[in-house]
Amino acid sequence: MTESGGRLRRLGSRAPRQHLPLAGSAAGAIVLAVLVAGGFDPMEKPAAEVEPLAVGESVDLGPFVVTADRLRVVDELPGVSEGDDGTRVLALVATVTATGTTTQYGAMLSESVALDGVPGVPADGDGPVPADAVYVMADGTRLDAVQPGLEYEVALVWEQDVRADAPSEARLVLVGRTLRESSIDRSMEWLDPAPVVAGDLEVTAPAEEES
Amino acid sequence: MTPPGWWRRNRWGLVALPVTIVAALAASSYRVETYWWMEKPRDLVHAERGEWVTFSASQYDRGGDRPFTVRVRLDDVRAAEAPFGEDDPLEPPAGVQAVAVDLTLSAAPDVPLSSCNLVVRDASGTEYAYQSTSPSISQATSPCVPPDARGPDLDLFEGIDPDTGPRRPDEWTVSPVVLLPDGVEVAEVVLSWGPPDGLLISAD
Amino acid sequence: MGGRRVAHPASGRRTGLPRQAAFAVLLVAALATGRAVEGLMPVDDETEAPFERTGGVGDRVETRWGDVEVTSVAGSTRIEDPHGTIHVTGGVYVVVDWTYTAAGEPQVPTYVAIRDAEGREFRTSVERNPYSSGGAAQPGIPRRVSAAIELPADAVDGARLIVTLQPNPEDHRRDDIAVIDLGLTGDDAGAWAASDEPVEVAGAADGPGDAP
Repeated sequence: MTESGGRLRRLGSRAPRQHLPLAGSAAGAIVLAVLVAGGFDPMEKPAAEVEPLAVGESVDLGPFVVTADRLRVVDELPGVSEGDDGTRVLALVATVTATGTTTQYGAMLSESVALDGVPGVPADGDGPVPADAVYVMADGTRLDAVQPGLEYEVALVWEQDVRADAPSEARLVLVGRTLRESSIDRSMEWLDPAPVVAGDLEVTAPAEEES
Repeated sequence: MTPPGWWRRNRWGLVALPVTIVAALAASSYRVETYWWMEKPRDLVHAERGEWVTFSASQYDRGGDRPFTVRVRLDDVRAAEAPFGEDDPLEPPAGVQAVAVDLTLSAAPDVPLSSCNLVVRDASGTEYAYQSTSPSISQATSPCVPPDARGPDLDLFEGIDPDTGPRRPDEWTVSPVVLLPDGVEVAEVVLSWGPPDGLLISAD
Repeated sequence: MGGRRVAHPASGRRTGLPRQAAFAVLLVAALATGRAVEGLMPVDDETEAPFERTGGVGDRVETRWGDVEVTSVAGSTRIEDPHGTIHVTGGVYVVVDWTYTAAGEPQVPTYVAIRDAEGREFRTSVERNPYSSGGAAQPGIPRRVSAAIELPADAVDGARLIVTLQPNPEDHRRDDIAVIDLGLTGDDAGAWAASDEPVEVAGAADGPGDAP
């Protein structure tokens, strides 16, 4: 122990004096390189401009083009809230088209459409709540894949606790993505989800829905 | 004085060259283990039909490594009459034969042995696996333990009790069924509790 | 190094520096040329391209991992999946019945898609584009499967079925993929887009089936 300690001390007395200028210039070069490259990427990026939502207007989210049509309360939706007295269903009727040349999966679609601040719609964390599932209006089955070149009329659904009042208005957030090379495997993927469009939408109750 | 020749001038480089090549190959072969060695049972203990063989290997779970020893004897490879551990009739489609692999095993009752793979091979090396569910058969999930007394499972998930019920006997026999095309002869049986270790028993 | 330099004649020293500089310039130029060629040519795409094994309906297309044979192709705007659920599309459902025979060891083709004449790929999913493989197929035992895929009517003409093992297209590099021309035309698209008759999508089954 004493021997190794002694060697360390000897090294310690000489090394810093020799390496200080070198280390200093290396650190300087790194700082300079970082500054030239534009500094470090801030952890909290400033929120991008979020456009107001317009009913019936198509929004390009990257992988999908979504047109929000109407938001309504549904008492019964086969397979979703059947015989479930504890929850009611909020459904956004929308048209969806995939933009690319290959199949996009439904999970990304439901993650791209979110409700913000509606009481009784449980959120995992803070912020807007993505839709629970997507159903095709034509047959009521789940849309788990969006094929390119086809237009789908869909219902994006959220479950709401019946103890909370059915909202008359709800804030809808549409989340866009960017196609870029993944830093992990260098494949092209739709990444960086960020709100593109947000706005309040009137919610129709089931009784008013006669048309 | 003649200048030193090329070989002499580069002698240290030439000495270093084979070392460098070996080091470069070693450094770039890190995938051989994951994609080849660990992909299938490669480190095989050989045995013959009708003889007891002692097989020791290791599994791992939440508690770390679980070394184990099991004694195995291949008794017979014969036409099957029923799926393993199920009462349903065995109805292979046209052109398909069902082969039962009769094995006798022996191990301490507290050793987890249910997560094993059974594969049979023909003389050309084509592999046919034991499948618990397929469109043509439904049978016990594990081919190496008695379906009604499986012994403990590996402790893989928090909150799931690895104890599966009745105590496994000290020695037991199993008859897992493998589906093969008609006309295929089983040459070898490979039993593994996780690659790269395995037990290869000749069926001749 | 020092010793060698001393051994050189004095004249060699004078020409040494320009020669070394020329060599360095040549080296950099060679590297730059290589980089430029690599950048201009589709090197990565070519070297990583999968091997396409092609055929038509009724052909036994051989690949590294087994044989694929399309036995029939049907279409409609409606299908009945193996669970009895009816799906309705605004485009066309193309239903392909095919047989897969694994080679070497039990294997399961998980990537099943229809590629149209433009190169768009329409993949199977769990519910809306049903395809169930039945799990890994034992080698030598034919596995009969069905895949139903919805696509726009304009994608039917010249559509090909794509089958391979790896679910992620990134992993198709240098592997075999079966590419089978389904022999479809615009007339098929028109007829199917007008049909309400549900086409049944069968679950997976082993054996040669009721061969004619």
